[in-house]
Amino acid sequence: MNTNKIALSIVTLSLVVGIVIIFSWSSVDDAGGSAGDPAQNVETRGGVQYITINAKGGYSPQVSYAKAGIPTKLIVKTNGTYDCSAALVIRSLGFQKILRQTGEEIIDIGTPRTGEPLQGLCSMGMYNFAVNFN
Amino acid sequence: MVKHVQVNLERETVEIETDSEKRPEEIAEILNEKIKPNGYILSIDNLNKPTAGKSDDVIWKAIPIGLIFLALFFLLQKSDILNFGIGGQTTPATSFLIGLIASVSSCLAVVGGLVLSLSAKISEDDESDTKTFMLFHAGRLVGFAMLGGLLGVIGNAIGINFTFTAILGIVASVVMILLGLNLAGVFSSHRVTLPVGIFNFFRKIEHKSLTPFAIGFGTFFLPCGFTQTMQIAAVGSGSFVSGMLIMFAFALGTLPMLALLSFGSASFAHGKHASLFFKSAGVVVIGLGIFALLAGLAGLGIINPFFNI
Repeated sequence: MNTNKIALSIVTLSLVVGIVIIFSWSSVDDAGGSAGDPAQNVETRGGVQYITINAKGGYSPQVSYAKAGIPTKLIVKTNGTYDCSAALVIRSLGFQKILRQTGEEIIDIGTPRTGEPLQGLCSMGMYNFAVNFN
Repeated sequence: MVKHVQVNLERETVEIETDSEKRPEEIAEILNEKIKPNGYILSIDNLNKPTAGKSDDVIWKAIPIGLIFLALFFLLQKSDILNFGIGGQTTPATSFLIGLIASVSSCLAVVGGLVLSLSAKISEDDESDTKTFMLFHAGRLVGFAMLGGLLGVIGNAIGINFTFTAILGIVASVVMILLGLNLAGVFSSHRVTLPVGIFNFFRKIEHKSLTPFAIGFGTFFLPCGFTQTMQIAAVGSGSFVSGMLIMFAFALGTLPMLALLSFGSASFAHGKHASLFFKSAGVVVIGLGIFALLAGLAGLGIINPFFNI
């Protein structure tokens, strides 16, 4: 192996590391609250818990925390959303729908139980979000 | 009639010495008739054509080049550049703009990756590739226009069965990975024993007008979030003409990037650095194929999504 190949291997390796970083890099401040502290995107009105997720170029917050054991509805907000995040799939509910470009989709998720997180995906699978219940 | 034949597996050449008065092209044609059923094809190789030569060294350069393009592509997806708002009514003008965005978005991983792999493969095998590409792009434009019009009339989304498009996407990504491996030259050391079925299929594409047209037509159904939202807009438009205009304008918006990929492949393929191009394209296509495959499997709920891009 000559020096040329060694140099190219180093470049290759650093590029692989770079791509891994790109993939694993998610904005930390994006998280909707933490395990003990329900986030601002969760509110309870008239005995019903509402969780709001914004769908545009991905879902935010990507991870939300909400209470288990009370009737809960998910509000997915779109605002000029033309990308994949408008094509929403929630497998555990059998929900598949292409949302309106701008608007709110209210999805009844029943009464969630502790330790059974809700996961949503866009139809192509490259955007996702999760709601943990505790 | 044939005086002497020499086969060189490494260079993938067959040298035939003959006293026939026919032109080499005609001889190749006669021989091709006989060997086609076995999955081989002869083409005339110019003796002065620069051979791959140190093909070992080329892959060392091709891998970092391919990875640079992949890194830039994923970086672009992570940035918010592609997420500027387009509000209001969906008109042909906005759908053209959305097409432009879609053609550099993550949809490029599936549609663009497929176009790049097919184009590079076709250019590698065939000298007259321009016609094939024209037919593909024509098929795509016509397909989007016709099916968009249909959506406007029947008011029902034929293209948006999520499971169907997801499975189609997985098939496309497997094809991309196979073609990518082939372009990168991973198969070349044992090409003789390779099952020829799939490559025969792609050779057929090159010689029939209908196939590239049909594949272009079929890209309507490939998984792409932008295409799916445009399909809904076409459904909502309520008439054949408006549905057709929306989908046609969208396909037209994606045309510059896809045309660049296919005709760019052709010009590189006939240029000086052909070998480097094929191998780099192979690396890019393998990367996009793996990305599309993992995303597709996650979309079907088969594996857990482990990236968000």
